[in-house]
Amino acid sequence: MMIEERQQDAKSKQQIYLQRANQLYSNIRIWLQDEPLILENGNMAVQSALGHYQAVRLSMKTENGETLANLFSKGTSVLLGEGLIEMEGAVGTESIIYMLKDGLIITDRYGKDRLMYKGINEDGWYWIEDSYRNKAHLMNKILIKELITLVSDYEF
Amino acid sequence: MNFSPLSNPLPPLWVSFQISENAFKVAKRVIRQTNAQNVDCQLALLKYQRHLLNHTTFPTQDNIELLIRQSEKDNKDLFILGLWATFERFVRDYLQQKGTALQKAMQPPTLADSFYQHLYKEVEYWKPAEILDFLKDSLFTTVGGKNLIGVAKQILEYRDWVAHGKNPRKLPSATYLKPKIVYETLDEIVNTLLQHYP
Repeated sequence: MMIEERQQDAKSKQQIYLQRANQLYSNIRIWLQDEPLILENGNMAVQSALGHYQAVRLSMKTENGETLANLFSKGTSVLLGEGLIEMEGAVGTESIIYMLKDGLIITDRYGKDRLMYKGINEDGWYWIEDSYRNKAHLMNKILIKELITLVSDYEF
Repeated sequence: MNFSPLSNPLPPLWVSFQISENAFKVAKRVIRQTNAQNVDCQLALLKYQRHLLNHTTFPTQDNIELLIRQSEKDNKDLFILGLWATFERFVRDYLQQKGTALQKAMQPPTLADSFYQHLYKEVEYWKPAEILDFLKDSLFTTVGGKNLIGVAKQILEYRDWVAHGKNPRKLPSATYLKPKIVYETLDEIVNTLLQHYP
């Protein structure tokens, strides 16, 4: 691929990534609208192989102004995913990965073909659990609260 | 040559990594400011916090939260490096043991022995990417098998990038690897190899 084509390809990937990230941030605002939290959008630079670009960062604070978590847009360079958002709180960091429904099929040790991760029934943002084997969870209203608790110890 | 029977060396590393992640979490909780409404409780809390931080360098460091976060990132990279190194050692051991079949089948025995000694030494210098290639052409020929080896190659690229100082002008195909995905990929390959062992 020529350099110009590669840059074009990277640009359209970035655009798709930014749309998907913004969609997640909008959903998070809807999911948390009944909670006593303050959500603020900010800007951040994403570093990529073909230069830097601007993306959104979402901060979550309590009404007292204590920061619970920051969601950082980390770009498209993620293993097995189309995009990455990192959620960083005072006690932990969790990664949310955009995964495609027609994801990676692998042949397991018994010669059986299966999806590398279970639970991916649609394209979307997923959280992969560390405690179980091969399990991905689609982001939703319940999960976002669980992740906030996981990274900040905040109880809903 | 006597060999010890091989088993999957990766699960204990995954346990160690999870323990270290938990330890970071506990450390971050300890350094957080504790607030109690009652003054006596507040004093007791501060005393307990001092006790927990006793004989550590945490209290003397500026930006300790930031430093712990950075250590956590470094720890992830070191885990991926260590996991890859252990995986690679296992694969070389596996191939050296598998090679004894050639030694047994070859005539005359004196050639077989010298041949095997040479093979045994040379396996140590085989390039990891080339080992993955011939595994793909032999034990991982299905689409799913090839995919697994493809992911392993991306892990290798990342491993090389970290091991050579993370050159920003020569990025790997993925600059973020979730440790769990790395572990599960290499674990699946090791378990597949063990299905064909001894």
